[in-house]
Amino acid sequence: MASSRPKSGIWKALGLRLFYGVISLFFLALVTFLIDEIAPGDAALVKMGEKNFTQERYEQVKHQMGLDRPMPVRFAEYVGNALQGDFGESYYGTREPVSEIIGSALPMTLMLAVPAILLAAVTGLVFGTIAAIRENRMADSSILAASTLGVTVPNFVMAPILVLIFVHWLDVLPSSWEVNLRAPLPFYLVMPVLIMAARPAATLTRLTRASMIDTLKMEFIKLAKAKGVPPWRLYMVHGLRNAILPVITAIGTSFGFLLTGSFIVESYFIMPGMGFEAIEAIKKGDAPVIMACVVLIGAMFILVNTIVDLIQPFIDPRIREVQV
Amino acid sequence: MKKKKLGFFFWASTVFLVILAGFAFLGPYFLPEYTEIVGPKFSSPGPEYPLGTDEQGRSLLARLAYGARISLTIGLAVQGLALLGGILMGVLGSLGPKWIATPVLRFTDAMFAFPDILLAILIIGLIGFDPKAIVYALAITAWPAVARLVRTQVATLKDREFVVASQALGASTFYLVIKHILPHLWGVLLAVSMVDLAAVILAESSLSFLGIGVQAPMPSWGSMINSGRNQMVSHPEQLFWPCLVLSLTIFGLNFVGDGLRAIVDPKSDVR
Repeated sequence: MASSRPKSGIWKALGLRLFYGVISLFFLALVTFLIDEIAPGDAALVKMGEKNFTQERYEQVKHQMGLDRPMPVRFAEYVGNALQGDFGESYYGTREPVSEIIGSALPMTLMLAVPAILLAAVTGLVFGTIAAIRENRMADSSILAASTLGVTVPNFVMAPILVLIFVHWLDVLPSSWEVNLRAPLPFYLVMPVLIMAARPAATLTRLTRASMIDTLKMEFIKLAKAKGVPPWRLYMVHGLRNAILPVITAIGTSFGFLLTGSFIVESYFIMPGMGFEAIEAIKKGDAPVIMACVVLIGAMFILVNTIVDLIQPFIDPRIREVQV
Repeated sequence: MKKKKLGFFFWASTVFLVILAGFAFLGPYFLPEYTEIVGPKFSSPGPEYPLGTDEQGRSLLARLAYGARISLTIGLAVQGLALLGGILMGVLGSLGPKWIATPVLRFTDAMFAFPDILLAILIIGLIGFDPKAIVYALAITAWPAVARLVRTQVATLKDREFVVASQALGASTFYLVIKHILPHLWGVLLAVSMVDLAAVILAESSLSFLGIGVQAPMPSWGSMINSGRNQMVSHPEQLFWPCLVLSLTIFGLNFVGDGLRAIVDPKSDVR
């Protein structure tokens, strides 16, 4: 049957993309594990404490922890445990399981990252479209100028500027996270989300604008105009529907920048998310926590990119045909 | 064909970057040492310290200039290494024999599993943060983007007449790369390197801001911003200057890069 062929083609392509996502996750875990292998830190030494060091006891501890087994075995174990949510225990303090640290840090990061990427996507699409429609006019050049600022002003420069405005001048927002919130939760999220969204929003604006300008030059737009399609329908349905594809791909990439931005933003506002915990762990040399944070942040990035690629053929029928 | 003009921002950026490089590399000859205490704490600008002093009485201008020196040195070293690795892997991946090219391609693509500077943070986090580690960590993070660019450029060059002609005359792949491919890449690579250099400098400042980059007493714009925010209200100039210089540097490098790109690549639009 001729009609069933494209359908099987699309499922094959989707399956391949999913497989590629899994491979990426594996690569992420492998590199993280290998870097830990060549790093100078020694888990057995940390566990027994350097004071009561004897070669004999050291070998014993190493054996107990399974560190004397070959590397591939330990990697398989690391991946197996990680899949069950076990990332080992912290080197310091009460030797807290890493999963508990992650358990409280992950929601915090998601609470910042999800609104931020949504905000960036909406801002990018709206302002990019406006700029494209008003190409080379006032609105276009001001949007371009603003997006240049968004790309070039680092988020740790933007943060003190916003704090100066909203905390010291207007006095409407709290200056950093507190264990016992004294204001409604959203108040604490405004500045961090704005800062994390700034750069992705700027890149997505530029991309939407460029893509939309190209689309609006196409023949079918002229035809639609000639047929008398009302402007909003012309731009939203005929234009944006076609221009949106590269933008959706870029949302995935931007999400990566947004996630690394969480290191800065969480540290600045002292919000105990994954970025904050990772930096604290790096300063202490707490390898299991560092590894878990990096693997999970990388996994979030891969997940979002895989989802973005998976939904693409459903948005754009042209891809469905290409993949047959 | 419409001829593109380099705008005001391109030239302003170039002038700024030249002045910055001048301060960075000639600064030690006419500025006090960055650890030297030249006056009272937080004093306003004077003849000996044109931008005033910091919380320890050290010259703010001297620290900015040394910060520029460190940022530019690290940035150039990282970009140099990234170019080296990226060109090698990019050329191998697109022109090498299949048994080399395929794994190289897969490896390059797999590196994109780490977004932005996440890999650098991991390497620095586990291995330690002296300047050398920072350079290697950032270079390892930066080369895949170069390799990918080289790959797309080589893909279009490969089918051009002069390459095909040379091939038909019996030129080896190595000869082709040296004689015909690389000379065509320099322009684009130079333009993109400007934008990449901005990204590297931003990455180094981010790490220093987080306290896992350049360590005190060595000044870095990132760490100056971090310590400056403690006196944000009482002494805003401590925060203002490093923020301004860093932002202008990144802004400038992006503009110069885009301008150069417009010259070397007639198809691309100045964004």
